[in-house]
Amino acid sequence: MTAAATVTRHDPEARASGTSAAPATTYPVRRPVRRPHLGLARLAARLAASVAALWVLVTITFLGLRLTGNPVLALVGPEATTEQIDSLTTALGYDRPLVVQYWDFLQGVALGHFGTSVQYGRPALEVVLGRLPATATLAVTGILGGLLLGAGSGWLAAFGRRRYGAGVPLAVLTAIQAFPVFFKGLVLMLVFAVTLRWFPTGGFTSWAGLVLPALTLALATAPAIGRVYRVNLVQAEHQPHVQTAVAKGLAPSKVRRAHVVRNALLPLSTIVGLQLATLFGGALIIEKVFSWPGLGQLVFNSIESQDYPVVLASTVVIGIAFLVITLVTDEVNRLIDPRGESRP
Amino acid sequence: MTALPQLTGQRSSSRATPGRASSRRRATRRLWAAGSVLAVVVLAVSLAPLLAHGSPDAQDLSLGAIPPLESLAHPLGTDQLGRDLLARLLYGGRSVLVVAGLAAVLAGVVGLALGMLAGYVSGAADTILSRVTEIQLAIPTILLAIVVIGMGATGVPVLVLVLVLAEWPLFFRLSRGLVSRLRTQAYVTAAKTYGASSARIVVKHLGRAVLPTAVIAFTLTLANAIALAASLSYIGLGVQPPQSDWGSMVAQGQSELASSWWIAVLPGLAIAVFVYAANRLGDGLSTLWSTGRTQGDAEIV
Amino acid sequence: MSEHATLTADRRQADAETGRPVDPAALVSVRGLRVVDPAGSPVVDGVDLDVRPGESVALVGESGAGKTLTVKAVAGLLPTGVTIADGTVLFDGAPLPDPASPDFRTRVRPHVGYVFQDPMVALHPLQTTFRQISDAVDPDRSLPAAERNRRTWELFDLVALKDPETTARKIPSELSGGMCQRVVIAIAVARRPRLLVADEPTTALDVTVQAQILDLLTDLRTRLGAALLLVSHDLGLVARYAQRVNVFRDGQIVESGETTSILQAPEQEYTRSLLASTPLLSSPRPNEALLATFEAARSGGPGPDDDVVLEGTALTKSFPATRRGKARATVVSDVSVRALAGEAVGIVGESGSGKSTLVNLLAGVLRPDSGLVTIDGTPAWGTEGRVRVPFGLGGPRRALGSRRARAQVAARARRAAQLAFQDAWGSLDPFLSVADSIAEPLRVEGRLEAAAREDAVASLLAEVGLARELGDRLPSELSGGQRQRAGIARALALDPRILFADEPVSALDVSVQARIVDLLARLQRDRGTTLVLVSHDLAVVRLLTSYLYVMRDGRVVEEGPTSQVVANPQHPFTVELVRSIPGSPAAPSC
Repeated sequence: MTAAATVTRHDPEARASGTSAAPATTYPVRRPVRRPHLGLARLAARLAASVAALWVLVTITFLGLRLTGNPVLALVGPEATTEQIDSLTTALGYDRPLVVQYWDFLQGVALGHFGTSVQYGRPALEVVLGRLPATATLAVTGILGGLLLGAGSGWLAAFGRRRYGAGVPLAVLTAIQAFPVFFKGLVLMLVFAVTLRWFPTGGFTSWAGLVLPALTLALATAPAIGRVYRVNLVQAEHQPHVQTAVAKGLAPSKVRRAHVVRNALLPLSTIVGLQLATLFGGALIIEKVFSWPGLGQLVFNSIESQDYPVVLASTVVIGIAFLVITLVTDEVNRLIDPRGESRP
Repeated sequence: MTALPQLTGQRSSSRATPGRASSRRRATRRLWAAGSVLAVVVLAVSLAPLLAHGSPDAQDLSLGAIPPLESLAHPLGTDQLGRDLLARLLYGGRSVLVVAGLAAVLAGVVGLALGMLAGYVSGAADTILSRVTEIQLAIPTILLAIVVIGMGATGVPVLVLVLVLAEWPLFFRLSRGLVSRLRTQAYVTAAKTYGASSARIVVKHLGRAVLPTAVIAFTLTLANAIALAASLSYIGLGVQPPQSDWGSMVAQGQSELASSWWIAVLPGLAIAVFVYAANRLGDGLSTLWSTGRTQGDAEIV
Repeated sequence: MSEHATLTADRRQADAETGRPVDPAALVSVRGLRVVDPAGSPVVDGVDLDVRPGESVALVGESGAGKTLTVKAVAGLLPTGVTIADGTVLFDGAPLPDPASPDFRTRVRPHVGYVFQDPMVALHPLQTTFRQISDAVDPDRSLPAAERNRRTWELFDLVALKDPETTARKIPSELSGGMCQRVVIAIAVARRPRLLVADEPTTALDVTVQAQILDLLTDLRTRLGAALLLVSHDLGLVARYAQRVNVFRDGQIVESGETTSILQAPEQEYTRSLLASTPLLSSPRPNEALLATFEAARSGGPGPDDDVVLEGTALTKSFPATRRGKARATVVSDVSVRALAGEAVGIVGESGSGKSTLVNLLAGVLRPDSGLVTIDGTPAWGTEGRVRVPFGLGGPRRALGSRRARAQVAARARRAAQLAFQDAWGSLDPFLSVADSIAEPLRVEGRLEAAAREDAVASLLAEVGLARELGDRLPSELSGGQRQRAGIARALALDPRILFADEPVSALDVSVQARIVDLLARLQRDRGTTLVLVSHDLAVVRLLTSYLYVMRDGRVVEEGPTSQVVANPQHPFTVELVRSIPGSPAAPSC
């Protein structure tokens, strides 16, 4: 607030009583700025909840591992003798009480010691982290594509001219939502890679290889985004405050921008956040379809070859990634709408 | 000559009665169309032994991969091992529908019961259940499947369990939200004053309000469950060989995509048709039964 | 053609079309206005209206009569699908351009300020107060920033917004209803309009705030020299603030003229019945003789021979904080209430005064933190001294023996007191037919057989004045007044000793109100039921009750026999309440 350029406020009482305006208080020339509220306590609660979720996941994994039989059996061949199995069991500590094993397990997870990969012979965590960038690239491109396609078709359906088929893109997207994500990928592969040969059928050898998988993910996430955006744009238009804006004499474009669209942004960002689950699941599956060298392919191959350290490490890494991103998205939502009425 | 600048091409759905009536007619037609498709599929799949000639697993390598509509004995063609695709689709459909249907029903029953409990009783039970749901929602389904199934526990019961875990939160949230809103309504208070027991209130008054939403949620959950079951089968975490359903059929056909595309595409289309019909059924019911409030699309996504 | 000539030509044309001479001095001139809804049916059907510069004109009538749409047509704010089908609207002599056109925006909007009914939703939920007002001051951003900001701050003063520096940064959800309405007013007067339109500007507000807001509007009107178009269903308001009034019915104006002459000597039948339905300070009370008896009994203060059917002593209730940081809210604080058998007692207060909570405590729906409620002398619920009296028990637990006996006593106590609620939407199960809802209490009680129950329901329907066929309908198929009757019928099903009515007429139109009031009076007379009436509307409560409790912020600030309290209010809040009743000598003319 600059003290130099200030404006005198006229005291209304002084004016009414007819006395000369004695400058009462002075007001700043610049308009006031609103500071966003941080809410650290709430953030801490969120973090605690996330850690709890992670712990549940890890515990289920542990139970799953131990309850499906002796893990040693996976490490030895079918000809192993009982003595060999027993000695290995003792050596690896699988005969200790469950609670002790669990505690060791938790410690290992917390420190990042997941064991050595059976397939690759390297620390499991290292293997997993090495695959992370590829999946991240796919996921980011996918959701961005989904946002573009979704918001674009939603906008068209809300504001475009019916006669020229403005509602068509959204309708098409909604129709193909019924195709499961792996099938969408397959069809795209069939058309664009096998038949037309515009893109490779898989792998990450070139950036061209990113197009089809990312497009599939975009098509998977776009319909929900588009539908929610459209509904909220249309609804926002009928809110009473839009009438107020019109009554003020604001230009139609400004009314649309500041009043209609601005209020439709929160549900939009909320639905994008909700699509994260679809995105993650979809990304993992798509990697199998297109042989994309990311976490998904790693996980499913490891399940097949029973490389449990890698499966475990992947689970934890994916879980953490998901929780972190959800947290960030929720905070962004809070910034967009400080009222806290975030459920659309 | 409208007054407000026409910002959108849409009318608000809660306005003119003529608009409402015609959208109701459209919704009813959509309902019947979707319902018939679903009925046909379910019927066909149930009558698999009658409609399919022979076993879905009967291999005949000499046949190779016949395209659809070329042979009368194999109207939908055969796969690379010579197995009749029509038979495989019908029997495979059984697998998928039974698993998904069972899961949807169980998820519904559990979710609704817990949700209504949490909504009505509030307090500690509500807090605990809501926390549990939140924690579960923080874990993506695919991860859950990996963790449970990937760690070695395969088979249909586990598959159903994973699906139920994936779908119950929706029922929970819907019924809990509805019940906790209605709990404070005056007629519930009135019922308490004339001595109605909690059970009576929940069943007679609140249950009736939850029913339409529950049915709609069920159709959408069925669609989700089928897609999920198929996806899991595709990546190998669903039904295990020698059993196969539509998802695993797509996986088996992928290697032949360039030469015999129909092996993978037909089962995929089957999934899409069923999911689409189930979704449309849900949408139609939702329009028909809506009380004027627009249930946000994000709620049932 | 010169502009003046064009204007005169327009006026002459309007003249010729409608036959009624256009007042050349009028700011707004409406002739033959017809507005149709999207289905094509007329909602405003041939309305003629004049507003002279600086004049205050009111439009009154029941809901749906077309008053709001008329003013919206003038202000260019008709909703999508609703259009002007016929007629002329002249603003300052020139016909209104198409509201969607830039012409309208530049020529008309600066001169018309619209004050919306519900301020909380009329404001942009996410923009700061400052931003919203400065957008109104300079929508096209044509002024230099310093000038724009100066004018904005000026408006804060003009509408007397407290603590401008802090308020400027807030968003509407952080402001009270009254403050939001002031912001809405600031937006309306931002460009010094020549016409102010106020559409039910105080319906959503409390009585005390209402007066402040209307005084502000009147003050601004005088300062700006603007005309005021006031839409209201509240004749009391209109009597105080409007010079001329137009009475609407079914899309047409049935009578118009000077406010004082219309209110004192209405010519039209409809206007007369409208006035008759509006409770004035001097309106005769339906059960005057009965009420007078009770008032006499109460005038002497509580006595030993009093036949007290309901007594609440030192009731206190607080609710846990809903948001972190806020203290426990004490909603009802040390309140004592008595009702004699067959009497009608009124509890009056604003929303948030605790009156609804008090009724819930008295009826046994909520458990008080401390205090006791007795019915017919037996403790029913609450705490007696330090002993907790569980719901429906008479006396300490040990004394009563088996659980079954306790349950029976509890049930009996519960059924002695029944509730009828304010809003019909919530008070009847939307999935049950009216007859089923009324029969529910009887079904739960289990005393009557099916056939006997049907008869009971039929007689109840007749008693509340509902036709028998209506029993088979769903609540959504009934009008507001009919639903309210159904709710009362259900409350009477168990023949309770005490009937609590929480805002029974607030959501209804004035004519329907009058009939419900008659119903309640008749029930009291014929059945001898004790009535506890809760409302924010003192005029209505005065008509039905013999003893009054005035509540504010959880406490009883004044009590006494109704006539005495109304004739001679002591507490300033009561004074304000009495002032707001039309026909009151304390009400000033505008």
